[in-house]
Amino acid sequence: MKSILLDTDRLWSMLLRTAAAMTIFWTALIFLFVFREALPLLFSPEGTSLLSDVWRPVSPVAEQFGLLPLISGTFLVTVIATLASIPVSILTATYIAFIANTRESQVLKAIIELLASIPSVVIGFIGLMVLVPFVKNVLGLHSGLNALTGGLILGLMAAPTIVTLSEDALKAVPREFREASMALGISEITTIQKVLIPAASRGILAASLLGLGRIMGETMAVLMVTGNAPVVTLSPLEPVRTITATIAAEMGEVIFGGNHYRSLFVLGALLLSFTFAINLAAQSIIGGRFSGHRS
Amino acid sequence: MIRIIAITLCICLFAGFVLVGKPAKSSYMLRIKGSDTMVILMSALAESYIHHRPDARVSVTGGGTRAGVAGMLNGTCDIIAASRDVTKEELELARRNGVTPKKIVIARDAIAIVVNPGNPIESMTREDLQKVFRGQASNWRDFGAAAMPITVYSRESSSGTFRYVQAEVLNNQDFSRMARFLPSNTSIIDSVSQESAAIGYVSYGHVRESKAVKCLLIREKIAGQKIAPTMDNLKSGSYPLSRDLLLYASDNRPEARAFVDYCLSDEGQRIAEEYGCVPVGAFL
Repeated sequence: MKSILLDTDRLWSMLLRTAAAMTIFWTALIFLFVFREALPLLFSPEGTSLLSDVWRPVSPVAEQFGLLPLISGTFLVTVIATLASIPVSILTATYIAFIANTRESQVLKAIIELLASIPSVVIGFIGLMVLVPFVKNVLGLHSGLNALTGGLILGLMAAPTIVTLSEDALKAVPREFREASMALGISEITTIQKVLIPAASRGILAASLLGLGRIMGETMAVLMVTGNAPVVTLSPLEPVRTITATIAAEMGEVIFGGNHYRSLFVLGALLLSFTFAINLAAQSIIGGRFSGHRS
Repeated sequence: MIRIIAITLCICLFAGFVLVGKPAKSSYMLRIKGSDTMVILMSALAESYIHHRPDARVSVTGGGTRAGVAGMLNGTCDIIAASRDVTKEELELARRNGVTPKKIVIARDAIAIVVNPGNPIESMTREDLQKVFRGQASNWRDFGAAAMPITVYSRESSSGTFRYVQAEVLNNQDFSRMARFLPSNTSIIDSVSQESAAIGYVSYGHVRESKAVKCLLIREKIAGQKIAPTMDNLKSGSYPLSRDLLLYASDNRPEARAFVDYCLSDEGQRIAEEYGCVPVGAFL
């Protein structure tokens, strides 16, 4: 009988299994750690200030950890980014998948992948130098550091994810769908509109959701261009402070184990839950994709 | 084949660790960490220091005063660069970890109140500034300029400069809820230089030769005397908004003490002055 160590096949399969198990292990540990650091504040008397609408963690008067301005800020920026990004991204994906010739689609895809590889701090810097003055001048505002600018920048950053995944979904629609439609004498554009996009709709939705997750979790660019004032507002022209920017800006100098530290972990747990839910939704949609367009 | 690659990789990695981990002969490493405001100054000091001491290697990192304190507790930092006093609790923590950081003032830095160069206002009293930064006065009309809502810029709460302004200008009150928080001196200068209604505060060293923003003069309420943030006024102590820049050297490292001594030497002090700080001799 061979020893396990000499049996290469079994050794490799064990190795691979361990590697796969590690990802679950690390994810579980991250959840555990974030929630463990956050929980004590929820159950302490200061925890009630989490529900207020004032985020003022460093104050000689009264420290307040109201989450509302940060949640509304994240929400507002995400909605703007989604509105800015999803329509254009889906149209781009459609063009690449069905209309562009091979050469065009290769060039377009290369450029979109390049866009995905630009570090977010560089995009934030370009945003600060170019987009902020542009928004300020075009809309005649006093300052271009606001939710709109942040949303536009984030929309740009989410576009590669949405384009690439939507294009995959569109390409995955069986050829027969298109051929059958064309054979009936329906024009190409109408075929795309009425047959192909609806057939890929689940995949496109999943792509959009993953883009949404990317938008919510993005930190550096948003920290540089949204103005970071913790106010509750639904106006795109007001400055907002997002959850991610708050954690990034304040984690450096908090006292470990203090209320401020814990409130940042509450924010982390919140963000983790949001993006986890979004990813879960996207995964379940992708899982059901093939049963979807045949029904 | 895969196995050969894997083994080669492991060997390379291991060799890498050994090479990196092995200290060069008779040289030592000094790690300075802390205040963002001080990073440029400390880098300049470190650079000229290693010309005198070829055996020394010095690293300078920012991250905020608190990051330096945390670094000293964890043993990853030998000198804390601090733009505020290290608190009693922090010192106590350090003591329990076996280090007693020693505080040394190496220079003094002023806080400049900056507005857009197009803003007609030249000076404000400290009371005015308090109202503006607290959000009680929200229009430039209140100060004799054209009607325009004031946009207040502040550093993030992790900044030592933020704490200073909160204590000295705001009299320990909260900033306006509409204040916009930016992560660095540079981003505040950028924004104020682009926006006609903006006001902010930065370390004087960052704007002393800048034409992009205008430094306000501080007007005394009673005498009406206007004081500009200039090197002369800083040295004489008449400009009211200034604070000490500090180093906290670990007592376990004689090399750290040697570096601090170099910062206090004539040459070190000259470098500090070049970077817009007041040398120690001028005020102690």
